[in-house]
Amino acid sequence: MNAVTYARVFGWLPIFLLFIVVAQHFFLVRTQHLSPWLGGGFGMFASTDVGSSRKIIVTAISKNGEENPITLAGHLEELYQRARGLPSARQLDELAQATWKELERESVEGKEFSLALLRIEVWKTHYNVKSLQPEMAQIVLKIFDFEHKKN
Amino acid sequence: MKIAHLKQDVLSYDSWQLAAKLTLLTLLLSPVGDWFIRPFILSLCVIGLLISDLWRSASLWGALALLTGTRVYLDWPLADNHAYLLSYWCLAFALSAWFQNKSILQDNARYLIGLTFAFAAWQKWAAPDYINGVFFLTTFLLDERFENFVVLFSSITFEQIDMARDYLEGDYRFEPAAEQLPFAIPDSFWWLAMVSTVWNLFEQTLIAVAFLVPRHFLLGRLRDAALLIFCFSIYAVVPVVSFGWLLLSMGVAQCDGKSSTLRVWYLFAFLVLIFYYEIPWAELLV
Repeated sequence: MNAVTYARVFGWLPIFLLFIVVAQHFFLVRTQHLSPWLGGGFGMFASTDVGSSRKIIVTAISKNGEENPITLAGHLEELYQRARGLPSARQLDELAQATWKELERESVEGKEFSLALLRIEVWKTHYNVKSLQPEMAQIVLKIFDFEHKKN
Repeated sequence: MKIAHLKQDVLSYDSWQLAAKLTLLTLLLSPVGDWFIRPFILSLCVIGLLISDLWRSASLWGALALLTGTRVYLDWPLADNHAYLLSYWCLAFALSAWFQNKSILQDNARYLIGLTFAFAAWQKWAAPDYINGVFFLTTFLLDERFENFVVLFSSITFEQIDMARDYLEGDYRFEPAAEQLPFAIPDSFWWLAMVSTVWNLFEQTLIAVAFLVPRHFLLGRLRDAALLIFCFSIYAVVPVVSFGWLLLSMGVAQCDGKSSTLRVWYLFAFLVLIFYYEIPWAELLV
């Protein structure tokens, strides 16, 4: 290949990348509940399914079955936002592991809660066409058992 | 300095050079990335603007493409759509500089604009809650960036917006929401949402077609005017002005060979967006 042919082929690399990223975007929207606003598919300002209309509920479950809702703050906040936009197994796992570590650290510091399981739920809001009445639907539910994995 | 001299100065720029400098200015006016990426991007932009001829350095643009791409990767999946576009655009500059081929930049500019709008329009056509108007009805109530705009252009009040937010953002996992908003939606607000829905759909579809059809087609000849109208209208309301600057830089790059006045219009639009960005006009008028 001469220089002109190289230029002709590699000159289209940005457009090629755009198509790859957009294809990945549509795939993840369909299969992993990626918010249409995210992932480079140019779906911003096109759907009500934006991160802020979703909710992630993280619940710690103790060995005796007691449930304790977790407020995610600090460095967990960013993981929370990532998992809310793309609740894939990997993003949820990262959020769960970081939350678990944080809860274990707190228990070392004296808060008594014998952690057994962590439950993460992701909810999405739909709005009624005529009345705008909001309705929430659960799109993901995952239980994490790191204690069992350790053993 | 006379206006005619200013115009002459702008016209003396090569479109590649003007597009490069506007892109570097965009990165300076609206810095991107975390603390470990941002200073490098800013430094490269300053060097690129100060040292003559560095605007066509493949190394400079390659480094910017790498840094902006890394930022997208690290922020995954939260980066805005124009973060991806910025990365492709820097790569187009790098390839154009590497092969010393201006048409690479022009072709990429044209197709990046066309495809961006094509996918943006497609997502709107395919989203039922956009087509039926629910998107703007809820977004105008929930997104505080539009608050002053909707109060200014409809009869809705700040108190009603607060009530609507409490209602729309409530936790309805276990109990259903009340069937109606706590107030009747004013006609003027409904119309504002519908006009916004139709206008966005129409404008974005038009721009996509105008940039993707051959230049000699009627719509192809209208592409610059359509993009300029989009930037003048949308970015007065939507606070994502760095996206606008990026589109204008691409617009400059692909308009070479057409009326030289177009380049002045693109530059003028770039300046107007600075005023949109800095002056909270809707807040001052409410």
